Amino acid sequence: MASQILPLELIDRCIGSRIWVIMKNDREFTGTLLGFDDFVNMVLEDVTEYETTPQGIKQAKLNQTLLNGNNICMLIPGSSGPDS
Amino acid sequence: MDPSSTGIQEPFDLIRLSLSERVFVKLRGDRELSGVLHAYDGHMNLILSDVEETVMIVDAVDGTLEGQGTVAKRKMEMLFVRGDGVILVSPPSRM
Repeated sequence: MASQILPLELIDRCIGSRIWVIMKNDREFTGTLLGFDDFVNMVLEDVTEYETTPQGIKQAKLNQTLLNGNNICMLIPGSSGPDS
Repeated sequence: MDPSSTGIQEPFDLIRLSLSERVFVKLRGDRELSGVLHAYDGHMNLILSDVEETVMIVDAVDGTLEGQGTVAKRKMEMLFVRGDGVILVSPPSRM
């Protein structure tokens, strides 16, 4: 295990870049990753929130955001999100 | 599977044998992934590449599984999966 990259290392390398965060429910966020902690709570800025509803995908813009890691499912580094 | 011949002692050894192989991952929230496993840790956080995500939708109206089907498939080149959402990791089938 020593020579392989650890998952949290991959996220650490993404600090300063765009990241796409997929939650366990039908919500996603894209933003610039400023930092995270051991619990994968995340600090993002210039955030777009995407909410998938039966009517379609709603978007909202947010400033600096603390995202609670409890509901995070997946992270895609270097991506501008579902529209890319 | 004889432990002494395959070197598998504990559950994470099975995941370790799957490194650099394509695996199937089932997640909470009716999601499934297929991707190449690059890394894992003790929380079951994962790094996968060349990933296809499948999202299932269950039709709650009739209360049966008849309305169930895939809604969306997406592909991503590289992603991190948070371990507490992982239900299972299935290694590729062996000959």
